[in-house]
Amino acid sequence: MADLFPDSLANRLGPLKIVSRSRYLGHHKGTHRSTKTGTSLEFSDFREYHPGDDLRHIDWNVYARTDKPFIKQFLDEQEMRIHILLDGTKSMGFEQKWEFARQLAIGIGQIGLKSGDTVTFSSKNEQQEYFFRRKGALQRAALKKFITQIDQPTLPGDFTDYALRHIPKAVTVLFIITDGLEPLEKWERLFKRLPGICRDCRVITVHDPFEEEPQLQGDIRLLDIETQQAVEVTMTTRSKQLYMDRKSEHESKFLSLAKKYGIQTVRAEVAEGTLNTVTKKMRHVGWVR
Amino acid sequence: MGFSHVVNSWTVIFPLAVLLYYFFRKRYETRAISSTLFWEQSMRETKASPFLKNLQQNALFYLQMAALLLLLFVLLGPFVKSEQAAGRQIIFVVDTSASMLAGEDGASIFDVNKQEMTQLVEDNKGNAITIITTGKEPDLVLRDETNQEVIQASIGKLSVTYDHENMGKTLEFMKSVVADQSATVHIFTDYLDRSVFSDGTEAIDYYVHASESNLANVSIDKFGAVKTSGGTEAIVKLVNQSEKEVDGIIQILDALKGEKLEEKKFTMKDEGETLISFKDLPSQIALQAQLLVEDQYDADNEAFILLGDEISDAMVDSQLHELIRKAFQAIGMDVTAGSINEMKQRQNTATILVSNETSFLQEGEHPILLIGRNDANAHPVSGVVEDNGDVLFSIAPIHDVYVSSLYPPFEEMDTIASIGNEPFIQRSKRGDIVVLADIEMTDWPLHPSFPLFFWSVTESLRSGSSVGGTFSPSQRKAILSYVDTKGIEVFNLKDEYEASFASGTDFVAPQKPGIYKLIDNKRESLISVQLEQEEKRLGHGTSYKIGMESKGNEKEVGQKSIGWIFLLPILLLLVMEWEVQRRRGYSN
Repeated sequence: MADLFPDSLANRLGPLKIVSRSRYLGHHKGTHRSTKTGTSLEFSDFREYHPGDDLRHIDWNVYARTDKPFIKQFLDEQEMRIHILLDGTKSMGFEQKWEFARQLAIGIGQIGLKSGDTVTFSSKNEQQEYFFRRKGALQRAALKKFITQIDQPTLPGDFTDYALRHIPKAVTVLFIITDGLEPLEKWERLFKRLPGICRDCRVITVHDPFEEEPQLQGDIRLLDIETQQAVEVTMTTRSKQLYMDRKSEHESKFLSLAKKYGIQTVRAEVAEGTLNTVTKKMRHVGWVR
Repeated sequence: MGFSHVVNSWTVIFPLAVLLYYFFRKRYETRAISSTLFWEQSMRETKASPFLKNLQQNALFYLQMAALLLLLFVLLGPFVKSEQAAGRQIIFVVDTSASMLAGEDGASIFDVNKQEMTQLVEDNKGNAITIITTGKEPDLVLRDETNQEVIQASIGKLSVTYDHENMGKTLEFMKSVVADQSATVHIFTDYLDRSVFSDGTEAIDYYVHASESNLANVSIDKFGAVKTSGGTEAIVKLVNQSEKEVDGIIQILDALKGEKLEEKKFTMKDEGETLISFKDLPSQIALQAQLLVEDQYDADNEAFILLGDEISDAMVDSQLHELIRKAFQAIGMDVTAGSINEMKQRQNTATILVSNETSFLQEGEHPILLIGRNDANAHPVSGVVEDNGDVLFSIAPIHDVYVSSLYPPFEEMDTIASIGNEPFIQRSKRGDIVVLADIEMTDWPLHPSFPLFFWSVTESLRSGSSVGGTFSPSQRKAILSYVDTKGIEVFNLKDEYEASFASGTDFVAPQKPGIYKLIDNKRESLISVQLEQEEKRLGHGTSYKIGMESKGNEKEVGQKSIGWIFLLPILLLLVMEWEVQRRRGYSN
């Protein structure tokens, strides 16, 4: 089996960092400057000394000039908690979607680990639940290995039904990688509750080129991978157009729904490749830098 | 239902081709996709229920199939057999008995039936029609006639024969005419019981056209008269078959001259009977009873009687050989054995006396038959029997009879048969027949001429009078004609010619009741024709039909094409197909 996430790709993504405006950061020391004062090298502010303050923080130069003791304050550097939730329903296994989705997950996860953040990853298969929690750049290989081993998405049922249960508490940034092929009502139910769990939710929708424009001819009995429901369709330009109209309608509604609940979305297409998606699209919307 | 162009069934390949086309066309290629969310939604518009969906998806196919099959059906030329099946035999069995003359408002049942027949013939134009009239001898008036004019003319000529319908016999005759074919039989009568058809064959449908109205009738049930020393006594039995009390007048007329002799009034209760006797009538040969009453059946309001020396039975001397009685029985006469004393009491009655008592030749008014003699002894003879061509031997020659011995002859009598020179059979002036041998002395009983001789004797003794007997209408009955006959002619009392017969054996009585004259070589005798008892009662009942639509019978049936009925649905189907195609769009 070819390497799912080659090192060259990892290297290209290396310099990137995940950006979040979320004020909620982890308690551990990290690389992200917090708005709180802390122990980083970044200068934040001066303030007058009050008894009880640490004497070591008195800026003596300022005291020399002003004859008043001032405390020199620095910004704190804290970690972010990044959670990646991968949709493990069967529809994700269509064509190259699964491979692509896992690459994205690994990519995001490695970016997070490299900047010293805590990265959690969860997905669910028919047989077992996958959960990964590590911190630190050294854990990148472990993350890659962990995600690579999830061979096929075999989860029956809807992703939106189980998603909430697999998001850990106190998450700074939540990445949801899904294909969005579920009824909008279900998505709405999920989106309604997401802001309560995490302030910074990001949904990456994965699309296969076949789904974008099905190359089908004649009479096709379309079988839903998930529900096994069959739909017999005679492929005509008209029926295809109808399909695409439906699909784009669904997507635009999905987007507006996400926007309504303050959830950011990125549309990732298999054809564009992982690198482009991360370095261009995500950067463009300001998820990474 | 059948098809007239079965050859066109080759066109079945067209619908089959379409069927095959659909077999190939609608083979769906299964393709798994991530979600049918959008496809499903796109199909939901046309999806109602699984069954309907299936129907909708295949609507075009079903419509095309239906149109093609219907076209095929039309090409096959469907037809239904029409109700008036052409070629099916139609048989009219027409009751021509006297009771058919009854009827209301001047129209007899017979006339009504004739109209019905005419109507039926018009309704069944082109069908072969057979007409059979009833009677002792059912008559085939028409056989498989299709010409309308001939049929109508024949129906017009049908007339009442007064003869009892003998429906059972007629139906048997009809069945022999039908043979194994199927037929529709219309029976025109006054009343016919369903039990007649209990053994009906399936191939025959019966329509019984009966007289449904209960007609009032008063009839002369019996009319009898006897000669007495003072003249004639007559008795009439009247029967009222109506449900009302009836008044009327009964007249007794001289049948020959038509003069009224006496009349009496009577009143009868409903369903009642009455006996009216007339005494002290003048001596007459023929009497007529005439009933003047208001009823709806005239034919039985007249009765005739001849007062003659009619011979009705025979009395054979108990001493004579038993085979003589057997011979009389064989010719259909009532015969009794009697002693001499008993015979003496019957001397002046209508009974033929057969004896060997020679004293009877001198006693009594009527001639007798004497076989053997009790006052003499026989002597042996040998030789062949020869006759002089007397009427007695006209139908039964006795040449081959062997006679062993004979009694001595009577001198004053004519010899009509002899052996050698010795008389064998003699006839007296009075008409007595004398056989000069006992039956034991001959081998006569072994010959067919034996009973025929007795029949001839009976007829001969009877013809001594001027009364020829009583007949029922159209009765076929041999009468004894003379050797020198030139044929028998029949005239009615107005001396109008009725019929003639070459010999007595061909004689058939006239149809209409009444008194007739028979003239045979200038000798005149009278006969009376009387209605049968059955014809004096009127029947009525409902019309009905029996035996419908025989099955399993090959029938030539009329074909009524019904193909055109299916053309409109085909057009409709094509329009629907076009519409479905238009809405669904052409598949690429």
